[in-house]
Formats: sequence, C-alpha cells, structure tokens
Amino acid sequence: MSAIPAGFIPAFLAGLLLNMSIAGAALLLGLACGGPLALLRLGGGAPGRLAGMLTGLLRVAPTFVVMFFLLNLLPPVARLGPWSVPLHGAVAVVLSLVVYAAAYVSDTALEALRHWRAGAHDLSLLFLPALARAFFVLVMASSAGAAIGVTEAVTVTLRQAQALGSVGDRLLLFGAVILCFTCLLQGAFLGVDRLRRHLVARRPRPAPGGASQQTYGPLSARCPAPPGPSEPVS
Amino acid sequence: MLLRRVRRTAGWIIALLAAALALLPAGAAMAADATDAAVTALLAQARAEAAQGCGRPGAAPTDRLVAILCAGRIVVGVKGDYPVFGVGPTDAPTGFEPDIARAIAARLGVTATFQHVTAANRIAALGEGTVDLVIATLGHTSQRDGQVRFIRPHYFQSRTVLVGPQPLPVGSWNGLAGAAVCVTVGNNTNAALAGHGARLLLFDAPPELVDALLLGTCSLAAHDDSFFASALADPAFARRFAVKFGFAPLPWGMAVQRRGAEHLAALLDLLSLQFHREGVFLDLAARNGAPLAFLRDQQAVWRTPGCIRSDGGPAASCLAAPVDSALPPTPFAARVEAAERWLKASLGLRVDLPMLKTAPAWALFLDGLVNSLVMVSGGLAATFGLTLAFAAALTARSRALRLPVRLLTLLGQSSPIVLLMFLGYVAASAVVTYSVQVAMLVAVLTIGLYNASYAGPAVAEASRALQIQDAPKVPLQLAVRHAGTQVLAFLVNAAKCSSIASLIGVPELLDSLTDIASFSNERVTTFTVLLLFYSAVVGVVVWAGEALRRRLEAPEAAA
Repeated sequence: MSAIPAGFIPAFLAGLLLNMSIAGAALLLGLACGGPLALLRLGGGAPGRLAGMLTGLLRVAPTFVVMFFLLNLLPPVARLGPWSVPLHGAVAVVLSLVVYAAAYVSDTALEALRHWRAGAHDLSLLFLPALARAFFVLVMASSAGAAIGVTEAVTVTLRQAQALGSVGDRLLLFGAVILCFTCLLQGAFLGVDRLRRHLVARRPRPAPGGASQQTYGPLSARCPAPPGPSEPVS
Repeated sequence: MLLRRVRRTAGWIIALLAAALALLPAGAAMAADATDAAVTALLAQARAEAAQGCGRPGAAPTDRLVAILCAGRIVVGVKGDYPVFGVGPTDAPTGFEPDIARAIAARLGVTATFQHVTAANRIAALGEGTVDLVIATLGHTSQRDGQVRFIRPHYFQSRTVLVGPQPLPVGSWNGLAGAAVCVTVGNNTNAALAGHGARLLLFDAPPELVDALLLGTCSLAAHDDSFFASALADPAFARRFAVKFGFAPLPWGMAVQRRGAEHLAALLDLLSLQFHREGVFLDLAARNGAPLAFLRDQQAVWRTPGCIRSDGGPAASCLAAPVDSALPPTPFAARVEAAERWLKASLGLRVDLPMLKTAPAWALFLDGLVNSLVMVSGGLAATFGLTLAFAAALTARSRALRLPVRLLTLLGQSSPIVLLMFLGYVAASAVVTYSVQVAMLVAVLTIGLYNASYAGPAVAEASRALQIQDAPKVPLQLAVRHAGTQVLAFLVNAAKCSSIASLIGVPELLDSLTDIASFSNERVTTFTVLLLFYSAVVGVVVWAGEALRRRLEAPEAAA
C-alpha cells in the first residue's frame, strides 16, 4: 500500500464529490418527474392509472442498461436555442438514475400525500428522510459511471488499483475504499434513521392504514424496514 | 452526336496505345518514361476534348477528368480533424493529404479546392458528385471496391495500434481480456479486439480517444498508427503513453467515382506511381511528420522495372492487395434486409439489425442472450440461497456465527456493487486463471452477496418480529413469507444487476451488443434491443415473483 501516490486521496475525494453531484442532480430531476406522477396517481381516474403504469415501468427499468442506452443514443451536444450543453458520460449516469429516482419519488410522495390528506401531517414529513436516504443510495449507484469512464470515486480506485503491482496491494486498496464507503453510508443512514425516529416520535397516534406501494429497491413498509434500500444500479 | 462520341473514344484509345507502343521495348529507365508518356498522352487527350467541349451547350464532358479541366479546379474531399493527414479549414487545409491533392492539381494544371469529409460521408460525397476525388484516410477494403474506384498504388498504409500508459504491462493479445479499450465505432478491427476479450468503449471521432486516454476513461485506446503519430509526437503525451502493439495493416487509397471517372482514375494511377518513384509522397509525408516506412518500401518497389507494365501502368503483382473485411452473412441475412426495407417503406421506421445479418454478429448475439439468461438465473439463485443462509446465520443462537455474517452483510450493503464485482474479480484471478466461466461465477456470487446483504437481514428481522409475537421458534419459511416484499425486491434487483457482469468480461448481452455495434457502426437499434431484452427479463421476474408471493400468501389470507 506504500505504493499509493499522495495524489490518490484528493482524487478519490474529488471523485466522491462527483458521485454526490450526480446523485443530487438525479434526485432533483427525479423530484421534478416523480412529483407530478404522484399527484396524478393521487387524483385517480385514467390519468392516475396511466401515471401508475408509467411508475411501474420506471421501477423495473434496468438502470445500468439504461445508462448504456443513453450513452450511445444521446447526441454529443444538446442545443436549446442559443445554449448548448455537452452530453458527456456523467449526463448519461444522471439521466439513468433519474429513471429510478422518479419511480422512487412517485411512490414515496404518493404515500406522503395520502398521509397529508388523512390529516397525519407528521407522518407525511417522513418523505424528507426517505429522500435523504435515496440521495445516499444514488451516491452509491452513481459508481456505475465507472463502466463508462466517468471519473467518480470507484473509477479513481480502479485506476489506482491497475497501477498497483501486487494482488495483495489491490485487495488492500479495495478493502480500504469499501471501509470508507461503509463509514459514509452507515453514518448517513444512522442520521436518516434518527431524523425518521424524531419525526415519528412527534406522532400523536398510530398512522391510519397505509401500507406502502410495492417498490423494487427503495424502502418498503410491509415488513420490518431493511437496513437500507437496494441500489438502483441494476 | 454518336459520331462525336465514337471520335472521342477512338481518340482516347489511340492516346493510350500510342503511349504503350512507343515504349514496348523499354528497359528500367524506359519503363519510367513509359509512365511519364502515358500521363502526357492522357492529359493531352483530355485537354483536347476539354478545348472542344467546354461550355458548348449539350456537350457534357465524357469523363470527370475533362470536367475538371473545363472547370479549372479539382474538388478534393479531405479530413479536417485528422492531425498530420488533414486539419484546418477548407480554404487552407494542411497535412499530408491536402498536400497530395495540391501536387495532383499542379500536374493537371488546375487549382485544388477542398471540402471536409468524415469517415461516415466520404464515400457518399463521391457518389453524390460533390467532390471529384477523396483523399481522406480511406482504407482500401475489397468491400469498398464495390462502392468506389481506388487509386493504386496506395499512398499510405496504416496499422491499428493499441496505445496505453507506459507502465501498463500489455504487449500482446494475452493482456487484453477484461481491459477497457476505447475505440471508434465502425472500425473493422474492433471485431478482433472484442474476440480477445477486450471491453470496448465506443466513441464517434478519433480525437476523443486521446481525451479518453488522458482522462483515464480507458486502459488502452485502439486506432490507426497514423492517427496516434501526432499525439505521440507531443513529448508530454509520449512520456505518459506508448504503443503497446500493432496489428491489421491497411493500405490507404485515393478514390474516385466508379463510373464516369475512368480516365481520371487511370491518370491518378499513373500519377501515384510517379509520385512513389520520384519521391513526391516521401517528401510530402516527411514534411508533415507522417510515418515513412511504407513509403520507402513503395519507392523501392516502383523503381523496380518489373513492376511497371509496358503501357506505363503499375503491374498487378506489385500492388498491395485490399484487405478483405467482409463478414460472412447469416443464412437469413437477405430476409432480414427485406424486412428492414419493408419497415422503412411501410411504416417509415429506420431499423437496422446488424446482429442478424452477419455470422460473427449472430454468434455473439446468441452467446450474449444465453449468457444473460444464465447470469439472471444464477443471480436469482445466488440471491435466494445466500438470503436463506444469511437469515439462518443471523437468527442462530451462536454469536460466533451471527457476528461475522452481520459484518459481511454490513459491508455488502455499504459497497458499490461495481467495486464488489472488481474485488471479486481481483481475488479470483489471484487463485485461478481468468476464463469466462470464472468471471460468470464471480459475477453471480457478487450479485448474490450484494442483494442477500439486504434481503437476509430483512428475513432475520421478520423472524425476530414473529418470534416475539407468536412462538419461540420461527421456521425460516414463515419468515421468508413475511419478508416476501423485501425478498422479491432484491430478487428483482438481482435480475437488474446481471448486466454489470460485463464489467469483468462476462460476455452477456450488453457486452455482445457493444462488440457488434463497434464493428457494425449501428447503435440505435442495437441498444434499443438491449434495453427491451433486459426490461422484458426484469418484467418476467417481477411477474413470476408476484405470482409466487400471492400463492405463498394465499393460505395465510384464507386462514
């Protein structure tokens, strides 16, 4: 491990910052797309059913494949009137994660809206920790960008591993990075759980009904909540 | 009109025969003179026709050569973004190829004007008649012989080289398995790279390859040595990167239209021979920093008397052969093409299905389909099996069993699956030799570990919850049923994850279709097929999982 150059840690942190930027952008766009879907589903009727179907499609879309699909089909530059935006690999990662984020937001926002409508305003606030949790899931999922050369934290790690001579050094590097991710994610989930408990503790009485929607990946409330939501990298 | 045409044709024949007969008994020096005489005779005849026909109503030039002389200019298609060979604006392009065009124009006594062409449109530009001549890094393949008339002798020969970081220990095909190699789409040599297990990352234009190397997007980049010549001439680039090895030599030829440019082509053949013999190509290449080895060989060849025919033209035995890059078609390729035409004509849909039209693509496609289904099945089995194992361990009385599994699931939950996949790959390659089977096993176990790290604890928690409420000992089956939503969610996730296996060289469908796209130059339909396939697979897993869950919950609901 002594072979790791001093530049690795700053590069890794810069990569992690990119992971967070990608996750933040995907979540914002997910809110923009998933929010209206949730409102339509709440309204019911034909538009609600259509929004439900669309959410179902977004839920099962394989994110990793969507990323490659977008990477190969997006033009190099998007032009909006006088503006032009270069559509590089990171954009493909963001857009592929939006597919997951929109479905997740649609499901959790619908739950929150139903609580709000039922008068359980405190329970509807659980939408906030759910979003925070989704953000960290998206941070992890953005490492899929390593497959298309986006210089995020895992790419930096893989590049460094390639430069290391021995298998032992590579395994040690991977171990150290996994430990770093473990600390980051578990710390974040701990904070999110505290926020969730704090919000639930303010609750005057048990929530009315309200089993959450079937979600493939994010939180689901049918049985004891899992330690963390699944990654949508897939 | 007919009489005029007969006269013109007879004039051309006499010019060619005169050049040939005058030099029939020539020796070495005479052979060179034969070429010069043939050039002079062809030009004289064309000029004579131009003098008669230029501008006269209804007297269209019989050949492109006459049209060029009439116009007083030759329009040449060149690259604008290919350092050393063709860069800069069309009013003043620089590089080896624009310089060749200028030398040709000087011999014709006309001016050269330029148009930019790309790899995608250079042949079309000739077909549409927007350029008279293309000198634009065009490799001579037997397939292109059917589209354009190549000028021979060739003016250059490239080979594909793999360029990578200096310390990277890759010196042959053996080191390519699993390596990320940046390539441009539509390059014939991509099939060879894919065949040796390289993971291809596709780019549209060659300059993007240099950026990709500098940014570390890929371990290696593959393209013509001619392209990398300028990058490697930069000391800063050469300090970091080097040519690892090369393969697939490809002669480059100027090209004109197949029909209507016969005399232009014949003249350019002769001029090309002259340029080799006189060292014009060598001088122009040296001036622009292009590799010289091929041109030196060619100069020696075309100074050999036996390589020049008695009529001054190049002897076929001395010409470099075009590369045969044709891929054998599938038995049903014609029907696929007919279906594509029908879709376009009837529905206006532009569908191109390269995976069904050539035998290697079809083989890759079938392998990809099978391997993807194996990966999905394996991932589901591993996820379910490890979920049960983790749940059993986490609910065991023995703390010595619970703690390591708790730690393992914690790490599994907190690690990006991409990193876990590479960790498994590195660990496995330390103990066994890389093979597709090993990569698939590693990928299946990683997907299982990752998803079971969430689903296992969920089942364990369900078990604990039921233990408090109902009975002291909860059967695992009951706990799984109660955590059904979680287990199903992570089984679906396992199906969605399976394509990530391509990262460590598993030839599943994503990997196969990327390879097919790399040499077929078609991406829209190819990646749409990929998305539809995986969405359908995940949809089937969701449907089957829901059906199974309903069936498992039915007795409970009835009770």
